[in-house]
Amino acid sequence: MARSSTENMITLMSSDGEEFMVTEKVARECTTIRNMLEDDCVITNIPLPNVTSDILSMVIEYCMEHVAAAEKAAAETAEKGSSSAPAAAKANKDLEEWDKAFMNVDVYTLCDLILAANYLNVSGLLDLTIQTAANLIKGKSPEQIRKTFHIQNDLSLEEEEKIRSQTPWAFEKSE
Amino acid sequence: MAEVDRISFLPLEIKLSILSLLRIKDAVRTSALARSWRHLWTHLSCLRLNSEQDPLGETCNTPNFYFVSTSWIQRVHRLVSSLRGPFLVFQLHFSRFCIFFSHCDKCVLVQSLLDLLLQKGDVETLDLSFHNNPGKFHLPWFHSLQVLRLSRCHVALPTGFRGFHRLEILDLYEVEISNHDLNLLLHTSNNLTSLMIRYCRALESGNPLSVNLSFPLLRHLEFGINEFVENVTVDSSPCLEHAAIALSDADYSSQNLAKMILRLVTSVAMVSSLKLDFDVLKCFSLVTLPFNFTIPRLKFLRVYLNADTMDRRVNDAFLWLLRSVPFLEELQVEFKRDSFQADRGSILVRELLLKKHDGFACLERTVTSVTIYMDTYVIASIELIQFFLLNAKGLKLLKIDYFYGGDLMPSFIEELQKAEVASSDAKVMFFNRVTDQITNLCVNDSN
Repeated sequence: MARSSTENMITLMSSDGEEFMVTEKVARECTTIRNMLEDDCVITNIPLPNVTSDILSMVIEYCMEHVAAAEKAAAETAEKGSSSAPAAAKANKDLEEWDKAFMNVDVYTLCDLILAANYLNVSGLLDLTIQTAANLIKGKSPEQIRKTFHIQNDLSLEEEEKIRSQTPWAFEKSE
Repeated sequence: MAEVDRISFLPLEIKLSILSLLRIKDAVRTSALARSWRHLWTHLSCLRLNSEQDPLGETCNTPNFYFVSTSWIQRVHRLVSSLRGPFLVFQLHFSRFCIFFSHCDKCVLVQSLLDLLLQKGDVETLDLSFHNNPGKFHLPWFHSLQVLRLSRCHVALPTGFRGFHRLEILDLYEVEISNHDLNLLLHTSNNLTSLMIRYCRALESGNPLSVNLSFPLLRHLEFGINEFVENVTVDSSPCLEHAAIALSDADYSSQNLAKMILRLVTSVAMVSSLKLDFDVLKCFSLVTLPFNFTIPRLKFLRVYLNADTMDRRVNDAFLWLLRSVPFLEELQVEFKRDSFQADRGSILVRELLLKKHDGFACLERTVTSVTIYMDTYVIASIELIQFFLLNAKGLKLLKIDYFYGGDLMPSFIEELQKAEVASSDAKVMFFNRVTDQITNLCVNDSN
C-alpha cells in the first residue's frame, strides 16, 4: 500500500466513554488492535470496555514514546547508511530511563496497567509492568510483600508455620 | 481505594509470569503470603537454577565440594518433585567446580533428576551446564523438546531413540558424545534453525567426530573445531544466513585439518554473515586457496588475527578472504597478541599492508564500517588501521575498540594523522573499553 499509514487516525474508546484519537501506527503497538485492523481495515472507532480512561491514556503514552523512539532510530540509520552502535546504545538507555520513570506508579495502577497490557497485548509494556511487580517482591519477606500489595493474610498461625517449615531455605534471610 | 489487594486477583498466568522472573527462593517465599498464594509456585513451568545463586538450603563454603554438589542436586530433586510440571524451561547451571561423591553417584544423581522431569510431563527447553563433567547420563526422550543446550557433560541418547522431532535449537559445548549418537541426533532433527557444536569430542569410541550437516531450515551455524573433530561438511542447508567457525586446541599445522576447514568454509558460501575465529586464518596459510572463490551475499565478516603468528602467508589468507567478499559492508577484525615481545612478523606485514592494493571489490565499493578490536599490546600496531584508511574508498567509520588503561599515545595519533586516506568520509573513532571513553580523530585535517 502506497498510502502512508501514519496519516490514519483511530479513535479508541475507554470503558468510561472517553475517546482518544491516536495515529494508526501508535494503535498498532497493541497487538489486539492490530489484529482488529488487519481483519477489518475500515474500522476507525474501537471500544475498549476493559480499560478505563486513565489507564488507557497511560498505555497510549507508552506506545507513543516507543513508536517515536523506533522512528528516530530508523531515521538515523537511514541518514547515516549504517547505525552507529554508541548512538543506538544511548537511545536505548534513554528509553530505559523513560520506562523506569513511567513505572513510578502505585501498585494499584501497576496492576491495572498489567491487565490492560495483557488485554491489549502490548508485549513491551506487559514485560515492563510484570518485571516491575517482580522487583517489588524480590528479596522481601512475606510481611513486606503483603504490606506493599495490601494482601490480607488469611492463613492461621499454624498454617503459616507449616508452610515455612516445608521449605525453610526460602525463608532464610539472604546475606 | 489504594488499600485494595489487586495482585492476588490477577489471572493465574500473569501471577505465574511474575513469579517466573524471580529467583526460586523469592518465588517459593510467596507461598506464605495468603491461602491463594500457597500453591501458586508449584505451577511454575520455568525453572532456572544456578548452584551459586540458588543454594536451596545451607550455603556451604566448606572445601568439601563433593558434598555441596551432591546435596545440591538432591535438593533440586526435591524441588522438582514438588512442582507439577510439565516444564517449558528447565535450566541447571553449575557455576563452580564440583566433585561428586563417587563415579556411580554422579551419573545416578543427574540421571534420576532427568528421569523425574520426564515423569512430570515433558520439557521444551533443557539447558544443563556443568562446570566440570559429571559423568555419563542418558538424555530422556523428551518429545516436546525444542531447545537443547548442554555444556561440559557426557551424554548418550536413550535406547530406541528416533529423534527430538520438534528440536529447533541445539547447542553443545565441550560435550562428550559418541559419533553414532551425534549423527543420529543431527539426522533426526529436521527442524533445526540454530546449531552450535563447539569443541565436542567422542572419547569413548576413540574415533574423532565426523558429521555431515544438512538441514532445510537451518539459519545459524557455529562450529568449534578442536583436535577431536575429523570432518565437518555442510550441504543442502539453503536457509543458512550466519556461520561461525572457530579452531582452537588443535594442531593447526596439520594439512588435513586445514583442508577440512577450507572445505567447510567453502560449503557455507551462501551466508550473509561469517565469523572465522581463532586459528582459522592461520591454518589457511597451509593450503592452496582457491583462486575464484566468492561468498557472494556476505555483508558481515569477523576475523581473528594473532599478531604473534602473523606472517606473509597468514596475511595472504586475510587478503584472499577480502577478495572473496565483493559485497561486504561491515568488517570486524580481532587483533590479538599473546606475548609481550615485539614480533618479527609485524615488520613484514607492515610492508605488505602499507601499500595500495588492487582487486578488493568490497573495499572499493561496499565496505562502510570497519571495527578493529585490539588489546593493550597491539595498540601501537598501526599497519592494519592504515591499510583500511588507504584502501577502503567508501569507508565511513573506522572504529578502534581497545583495551588499554591509559590515554592514546600522542605519537600514535600523530602518525595516523599523516596517513593517506582513500575516503573523504572516513571517521576514525577510538573506543576505550576500560574507561568507556570515545576519542574521535579527524584524519583528513592534515590533507
